[in-house]
Amino acid sequence: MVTRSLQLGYWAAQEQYSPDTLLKFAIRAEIMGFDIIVTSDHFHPWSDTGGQSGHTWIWLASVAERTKKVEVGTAVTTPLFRYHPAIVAQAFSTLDHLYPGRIFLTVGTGHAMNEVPLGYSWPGYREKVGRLKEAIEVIKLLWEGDFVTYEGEYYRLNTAKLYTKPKSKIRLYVATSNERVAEIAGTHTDGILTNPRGLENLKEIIESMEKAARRAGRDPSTLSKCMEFKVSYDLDYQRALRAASFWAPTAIPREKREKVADPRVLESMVTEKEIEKIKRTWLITTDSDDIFKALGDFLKLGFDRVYIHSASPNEERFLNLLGREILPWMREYWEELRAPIRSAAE
Amino acid sequence: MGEISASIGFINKIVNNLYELDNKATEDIYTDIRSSGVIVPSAEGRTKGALSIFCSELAKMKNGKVVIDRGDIGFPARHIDEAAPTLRRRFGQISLLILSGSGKSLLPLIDAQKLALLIAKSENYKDHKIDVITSDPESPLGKLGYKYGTLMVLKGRELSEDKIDTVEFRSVGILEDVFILGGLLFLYGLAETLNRDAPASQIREYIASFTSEVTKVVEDVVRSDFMKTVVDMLEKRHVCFLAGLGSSREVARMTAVRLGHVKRAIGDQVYVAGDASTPSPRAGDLLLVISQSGEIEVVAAWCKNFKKMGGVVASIVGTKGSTIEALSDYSYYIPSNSFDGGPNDFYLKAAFASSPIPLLLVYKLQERGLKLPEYILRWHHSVTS
Repeated sequence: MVTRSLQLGYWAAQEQYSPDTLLKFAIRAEIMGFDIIVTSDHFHPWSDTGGQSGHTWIWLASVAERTKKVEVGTAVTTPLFRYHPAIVAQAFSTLDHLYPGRIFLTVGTGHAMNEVPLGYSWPGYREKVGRLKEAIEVIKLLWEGDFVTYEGEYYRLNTAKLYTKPKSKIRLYVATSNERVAEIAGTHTDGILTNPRGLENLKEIIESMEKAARRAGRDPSTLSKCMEFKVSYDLDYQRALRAASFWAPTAIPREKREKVADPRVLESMVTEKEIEKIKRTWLITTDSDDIFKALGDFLKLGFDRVYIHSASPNEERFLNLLGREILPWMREYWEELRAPIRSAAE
Repeated sequence: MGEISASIGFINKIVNNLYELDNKATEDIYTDIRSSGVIVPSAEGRTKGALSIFCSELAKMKNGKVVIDRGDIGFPARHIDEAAPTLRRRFGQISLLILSGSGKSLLPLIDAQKLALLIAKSENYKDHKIDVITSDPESPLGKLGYKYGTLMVLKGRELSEDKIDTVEFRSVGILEDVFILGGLLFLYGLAETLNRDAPASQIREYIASFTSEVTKVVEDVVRSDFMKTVVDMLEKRHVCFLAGLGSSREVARMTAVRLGHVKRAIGDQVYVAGDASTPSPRAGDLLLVISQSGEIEVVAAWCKNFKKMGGVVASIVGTKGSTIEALSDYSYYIPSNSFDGGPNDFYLKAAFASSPIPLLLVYKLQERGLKLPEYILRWHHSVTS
């Protein structure tokens, strides 16, 4: 049984902020005590109004250079269409070569908005999962192997070799809110990333991952459980809610938004229902105690990597609040959960 | 160093913790302080008292340093990041010196984060240092010290895993004693080394020398009639006032916080003389005065007034035959030294000499069958700092 330490991450949303602003936030986040800077990897943002979308990998190199100790990585890179998995392997291998031990990669099946504008057609669920599994195999083969030949249903490698290898083992995670992908995570990767929407069937997801890990002869306790925690904080509730509404297109039911690639269309599809859903799935709050309680609940569920994704109107102030009032006590709480001071009966 | 004091076991803990200090960190912190043009101290609560005593001695020393507190009227801005360019221009390298057992104290954390942001932005690591002394290297302040200056781990603020009984109190201290007094002892060793312009390797020797002196003071004071009388008086249902000026006031404050926790548990209050919320004394109340010279007029006036109102004055003084000693009903003399313009060790000795007071009071109350609140028994430190 492996004892894990709590890793707290700051989610740098490429879709919302320009790369230079995000870089400032990331530097501040390290100083405020975060262990991880995690960033989204998009071609199009979710909203047209105020949307941004810098190239994540270039930004990651800049962040790694300007910070000293934090882990840096993505959530979520889609190695299916616009990024060939071999190029993903090469990019992250280079990053790890430059900043050994500080790089991680999270992969997932992605969104149409990032692939369709570049001329790809958006496939069904079965193909996406098939591609993801093959992409993970390709990435790992290139990181670990020499000349690689791979014959998959979707990807082929013809005596391909990654000449610049990673200096350390790059941690690889898979984003999922379903059991099928969790199985792939358990077999091939270092853990899963989920978000509050995945909590409904969390037990099944974890079981599926752990079962697959055992089948593959791996120790399930070595696998991480990562959570994206979404929060908008301000002294004024309405202001916090308005800021979080930037992400309302993410609340459109998947079947409706699945094939929409234009952020203008996505934005126009937002109704009161989506805003209500944002209120339920994001923590919109004026009280730092609420954040502590919500994060504490995730820790109780066994998440050991928690990424705080904020849409707060004043991000710098929020980072200060996290650094002073939340993170130190989250670590203490994590220790207490593992070694309670009082017995449960009390 | 090693096992020195038998009667008050937490002194042994302090000594052992100092023995375990990392040599490299000790040298680094010494180098940082030595090369800095100005020191900005940052701490909270009782820890601030210990840091203030050190800084006050540092500023007074022959080979002293410029010390500017964030709360000083002359501090050139509201926050340290705004003040840093001015301080650098005037004095050169800035050392933000932080003493925090938990590594989470809010004010030092704000200072450290602001200075760290300035360093990260300017990438000027040379002119700004964040020097942190803490028990928790994984704390926010510990991490900032590690990255932007020096992190020195001094044990003493750990949570007790076991159920603590009052008797065991004597071996674990009360409310962060072990960390704060250990920190003060280390800082005195540092000040002495600085004043003598000695190499960093000498710090341990000076700490050992101070240690043997404070241990002797503690051994003597706990066996003294003075201590017996003071503890007997504290057990009675009277209010206790503590008084002093300058560094003595810091010692008085440090004692008042710890004593306050215990006295409040039996329904009484403890005040520091001269504070805005300090009430007038009543007949029978106790005034505990700490004074090195024993001649501070204001403090002597407090003693006179106190006695006029029927109070009892007890004092810890550093000068025999002084006015305050003469005005006191009970007095304890601590001989003090200052080598060639170096730090005066009276305040260090007085802090150690007064540290057993709350412990002995707890012990006495336990003998009478009074059980103290669990939070005092369980924690070695204040829950609020």
